[in-house]
Amino acid sequence: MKGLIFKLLIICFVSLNLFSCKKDDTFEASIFDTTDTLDVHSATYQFDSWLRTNYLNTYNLDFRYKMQDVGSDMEYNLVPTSFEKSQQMAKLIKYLWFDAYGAVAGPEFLKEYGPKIIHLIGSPAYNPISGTMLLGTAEGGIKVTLYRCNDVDPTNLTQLNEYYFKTMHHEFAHILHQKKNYPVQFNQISKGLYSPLGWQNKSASEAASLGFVSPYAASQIREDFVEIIANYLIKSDTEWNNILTLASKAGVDNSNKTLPDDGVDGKAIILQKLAMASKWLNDSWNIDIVKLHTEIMYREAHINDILN
Amino acid sequence: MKNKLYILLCSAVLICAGCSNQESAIFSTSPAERLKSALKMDTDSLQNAENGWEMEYFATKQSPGYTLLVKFSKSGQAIISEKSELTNNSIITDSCMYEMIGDNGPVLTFNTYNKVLHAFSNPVSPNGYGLEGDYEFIIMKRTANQIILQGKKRGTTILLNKIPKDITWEEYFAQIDDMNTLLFGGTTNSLNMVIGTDTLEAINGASHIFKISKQGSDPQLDGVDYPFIITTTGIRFNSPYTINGNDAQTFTLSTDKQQLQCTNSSVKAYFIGTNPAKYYLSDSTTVWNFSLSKPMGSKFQTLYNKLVTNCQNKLSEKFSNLYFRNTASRGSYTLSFKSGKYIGYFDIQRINIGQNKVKFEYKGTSDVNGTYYLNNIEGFNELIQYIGKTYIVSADIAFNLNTIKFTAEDDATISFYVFR
Repeated sequence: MKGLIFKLLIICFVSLNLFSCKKDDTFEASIFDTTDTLDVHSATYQFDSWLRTNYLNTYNLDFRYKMQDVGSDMEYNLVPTSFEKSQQMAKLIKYLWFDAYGAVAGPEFLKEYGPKIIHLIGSPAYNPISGTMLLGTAEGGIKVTLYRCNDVDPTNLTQLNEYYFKTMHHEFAHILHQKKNYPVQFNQISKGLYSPLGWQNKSASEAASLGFVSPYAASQIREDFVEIIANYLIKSDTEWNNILTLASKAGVDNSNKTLPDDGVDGKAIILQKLAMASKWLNDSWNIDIVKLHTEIMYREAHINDILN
Repeated sequence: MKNKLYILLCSAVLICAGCSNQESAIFSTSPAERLKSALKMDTDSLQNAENGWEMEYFATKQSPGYTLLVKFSKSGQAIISEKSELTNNSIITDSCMYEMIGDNGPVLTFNTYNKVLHAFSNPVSPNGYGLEGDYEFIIMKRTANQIILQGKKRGTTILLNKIPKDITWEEYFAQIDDMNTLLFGGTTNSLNMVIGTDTLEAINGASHIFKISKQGSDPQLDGVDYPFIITTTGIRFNSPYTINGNDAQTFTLSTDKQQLQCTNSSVKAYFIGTNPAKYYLSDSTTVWNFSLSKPMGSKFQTLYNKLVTNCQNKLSEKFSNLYFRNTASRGSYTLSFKSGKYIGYFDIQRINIGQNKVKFEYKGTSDVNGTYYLNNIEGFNELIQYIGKTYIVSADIAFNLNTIKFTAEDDATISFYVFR
């Protein structure tokens, strides 16, 4: 009986506790401007309006050129992109990346599968200890961060491709394979040849001779997969054939020393990887990689149309 | 069991009372609304400074301070200027966007690149780290004429001081330059810092990072680094110097320019320059020229004029210079002169008699030219007599001993300046 009273009191105790706080507080009005209008008095109004029309309304994408420290990797020392370079990047990215995909895969493709946020960072993200720098990241298929934007030179196609557009196609390929995985057979092609910590010590020749399109492709399987796509898309036919030629020769290291025969047919491996990636793009996403490459090359040849 | 029941009943009563749904409101608005309001007030305050703000910027707690001038427009644009060794001592200006955001409380962010401000944060140089400065700042305190910021990553305290309306930015930078030259433009590397009863030695001021040590110790080995910034009125340490419970941080140049006096210490604290006599005597390599642009005492001026006139009249030579130096060919410290193309030397010795005094003595020897002028040109004998006295050594600006003054102890009309 005593035990029963004790239990009942505990129930009362808990009940009182619950019911005494039954009335919820009412929420205050939102502090945010829910009408979300742009400030016509802002120095950036014209550009912000352009971004709204060309990115937010067209691709459902928030183009963040005003750097948000909390939205970046706080481990790195970083700086924002200049307003001038942000405008150049916005035009270039739309023309050479988004509209190129739009022309080949249809206008809805990037709206549905593309990143929802592009965040520009002015400086590279250096890792002084390893001596490497980050050019881009893709987070959860949602956000692409592009670094080193203050160095962009719209008249230098080689630089544009190497530091920015290869990164963009690279990161977007990550987003796509995070949604639909790449073929498991790809994991077997260069098994045992990846070097997550030592890739930066490989020369382009050494990497190619082992069947990688770039030294970074030799870091991990998933990087290898997206590097094949990114490099094929942005390299001219001559540049691509140069990689294949390099891959068919014995590797030469960074000190210009010819390496011993690795027993790998680099060219055949790269072509095998490209074929697998092409099929995956076609089967999973209905994207013809050759058409997309051709579209990008055409746009690169006409880049002055958007810069003037 | 009874005890348990009592405890439970009492607890229930207390909980009932404690959970009353009528909480008394401490603030009349929600936290979000208060933050929004604070952001608005901070933004208004930044924009309302008609001539902008002086930003006393320290990249890290180990870095010297730099003066940036910033103006915030209502369109969200900030214009920032700097003049320092980082800008090759010319004024550079750039604009960028700024915003007040709710982050760690109200935060001021400069969120597009500005080549002035972001030079402190850019990792490109050196070594992939850069100078490691902040470009996002938490607003710590705001008054009408000053806003105290704290760097978000590095935690350095950075002041924004409202710039008076009646001064141009060029003039403002010039005032900073003048203060820097006045304090550290000389070659003296050592100042004395007095806090209460403690006297310390502060070296390397020209780098804007004092190395401070107790007198008598080796400042290079035992000194502790104290970064500071030059202001229009003096200097300010990045963080207070503390000794025996006494703090000192902000120092203002005294009206007579002889001291930097602390304005925020509970005890008397100040910087004074090196004793000019001690400095002069410790230096053995400098050529000290007599100054013609600074006033001479009346008797010495008369003598100098006599030398000029007599050299011209008797030898048709222009008497152009008097100077002290160590002359290797004489193996002696000398009082030297130049008349026409001739240079002559009188051998003298400098005697340290302590405090702020130097005694000169003519050794009675000179080179051929010295002897000739001494014997043939009126005034040179008088010059030797004048020099062979005890002099009080002083400096118009105690911090800059590039120019020092000698005044005869027994006759204030015998005085002259020398400069290096």
